[in-house]
Amino acid sequence: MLKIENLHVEIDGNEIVKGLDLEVGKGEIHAIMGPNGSGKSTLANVLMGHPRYEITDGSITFEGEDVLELEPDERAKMGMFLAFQYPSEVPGVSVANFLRTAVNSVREEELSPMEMYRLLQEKMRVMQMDVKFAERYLNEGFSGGEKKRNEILQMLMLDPKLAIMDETDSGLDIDALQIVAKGVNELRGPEFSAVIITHYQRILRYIEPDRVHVMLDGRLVTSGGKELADQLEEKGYDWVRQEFGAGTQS
Amino acid sequence: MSANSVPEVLRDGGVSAEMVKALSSFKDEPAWLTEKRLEAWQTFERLPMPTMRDEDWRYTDISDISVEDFVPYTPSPDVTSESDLPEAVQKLIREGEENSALIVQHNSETSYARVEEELREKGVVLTDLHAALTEHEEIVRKHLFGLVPEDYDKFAALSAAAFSGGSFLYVPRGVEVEVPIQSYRWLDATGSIMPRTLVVVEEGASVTYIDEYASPGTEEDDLAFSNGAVELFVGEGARLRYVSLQNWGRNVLHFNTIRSSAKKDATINSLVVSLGSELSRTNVDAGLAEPGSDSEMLGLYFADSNQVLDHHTLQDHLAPNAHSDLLYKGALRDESLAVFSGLIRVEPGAQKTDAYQTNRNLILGTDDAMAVSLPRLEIQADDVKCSHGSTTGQVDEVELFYLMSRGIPRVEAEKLVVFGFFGEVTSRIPLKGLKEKLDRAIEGKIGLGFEERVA
Repeated sequence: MLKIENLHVEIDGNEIVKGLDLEVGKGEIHAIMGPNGSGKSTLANVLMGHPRYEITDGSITFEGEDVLELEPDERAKMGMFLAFQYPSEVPGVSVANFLRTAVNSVREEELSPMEMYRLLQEKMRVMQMDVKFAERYLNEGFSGGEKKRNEILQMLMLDPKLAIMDETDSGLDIDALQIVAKGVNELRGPEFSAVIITHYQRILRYIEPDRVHVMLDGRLVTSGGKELADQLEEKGYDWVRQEFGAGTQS
Repeated sequence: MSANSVPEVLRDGGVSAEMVKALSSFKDEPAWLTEKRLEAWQTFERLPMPTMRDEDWRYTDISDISVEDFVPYTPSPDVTSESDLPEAVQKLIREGEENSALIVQHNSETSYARVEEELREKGVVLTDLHAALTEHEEIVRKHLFGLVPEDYDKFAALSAAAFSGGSFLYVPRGVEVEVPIQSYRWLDATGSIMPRTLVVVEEGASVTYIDEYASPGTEEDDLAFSNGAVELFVGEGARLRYVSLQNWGRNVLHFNTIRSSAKKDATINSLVVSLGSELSRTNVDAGLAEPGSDSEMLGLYFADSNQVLDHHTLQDHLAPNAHSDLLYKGALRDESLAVFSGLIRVEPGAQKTDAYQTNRNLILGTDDAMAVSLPRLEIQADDVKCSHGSTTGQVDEVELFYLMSRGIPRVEAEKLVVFGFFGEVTSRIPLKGLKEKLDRAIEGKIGLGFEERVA
């Protein structure tokens, strides 16, 4: 489904991702764990086509198609979704208006206002959000938790094939984390894949990954099953640095 | 009025003392007004044409315009029913706000007016300004030129000397007009149009009044010239919502001065929209004349191609305990220029003044558009709350990325951002028809070739 080969990414001349390979199959949930500054968020943003990063080498394909040639909206139409770590505030644009525009764009057909309203109500119920929330301006004045919930609400509305979640768990209390996890598990199935990018192992208790990768200094340095996450929790990132850090790598 | 009866001097050549006299006599005006017009003409001749060396005209170049050379008067047919108005005007009416009274100025003459029976019975007057001079001379004489006098500036002098057409709205004491009153100015000739608006809202009354300016001209047509003056008198405890919607064709030069005076506990909500014209200069002065008066001043402009849209505002706090809140927002693209110059002036003794002023500009694309924003404070009282702010920025690429990542194409994402930007203004206008009209106009401006350029 998603295939990344030898990916190199720069921002302002600094290389952040330094030859990364990853393959995510249909229906699989992968976790990418790593310390701050390892390039996790860069990877997430690049997958969706963030304008500030430069891809200097390598390839990203989604369902066999080269996505590096595609605009972010075209990637979304193919079924890719990014839950942002820091979603933008868009003053004057209500959540409802935004979601209507997004859903109609991705589906490439207009839902009737009634169908749209029902869909929104249903998904908001899953996320335990008040319907009044939809009238607020997109992310403006939202608390950290509200922003994250809103990201997952968008994901449920757009029903992607692949969700990339950029530290969606950070800054959430346990209740909010459970709601977010519930949203993701709602989509889980043979047609849905996800890449969960996180610093902590905590979210993986609620969304069980098929594979866990550890990212360090712009590369995936080791991979394993979900037990790798437990190991990381126990030994910490210092252990990773000692085992796989630049000093020990050729 | 048939074109044949119009004196030659009004139809050819420009404005002159002879023309002013002929106009006044043609309109059968009282002697005081003829004198007033002639005085104003002298003032016009005395005042120099503003240049870019003048503080108030530093960014807007009008040096190659000779305003007095435009044909000053173009007649238009009187019509007895709305269905006889030009089709384009009927369309404006259909797409406009629901109204309880309507007046149409076609070129230099009022061609149609109607007032609902119920309003007439309550004493509400909406009529041609010249007709009002006969039918309501006392009130007109008392107020006309009271707020935009001939010596306000060169354009006001020209207006006082050579105005024709124009509208007069009178709302008697305590009368609340619920459905808005609408005026249209339609210009399908080259030459000039010099309408005046005179609104008198008596104590405790309330009304919404909309002046809309439109014409079919394009950049290819000969230049036309619009010179307006708007005087808004709002009595004690009265409420006026005033909208000026300037959507002229691209061959028009638009100059307008809108001045209001609010008595004790009166409220004025103004909205000034500038979308059309080649060059537009609007002065909006709110006089907070008595304690407890309140003025909300909203502005919305969108400049494209080589348009120049210039707004000068004044929040004039003359009395204590008054409140004013200004928000002007503009979008710019291509090689356009927008100028905002706003002054909060607090006169000595106007303690407990509460005054705010915000101007925000959004530049679309990476073109050569320029926004000039000049907020100023002049405070001569010590116990006041005043603040001002201004920002000019481009559409944020990261914000666009966020929207696009949800499947929304760039142009649509940009539309959302621009609509969101203007939403802060439009959400404060409780007029549905007007809002829809603005949305369509904004959408049209964003769509204008923007798609090709960003691709």
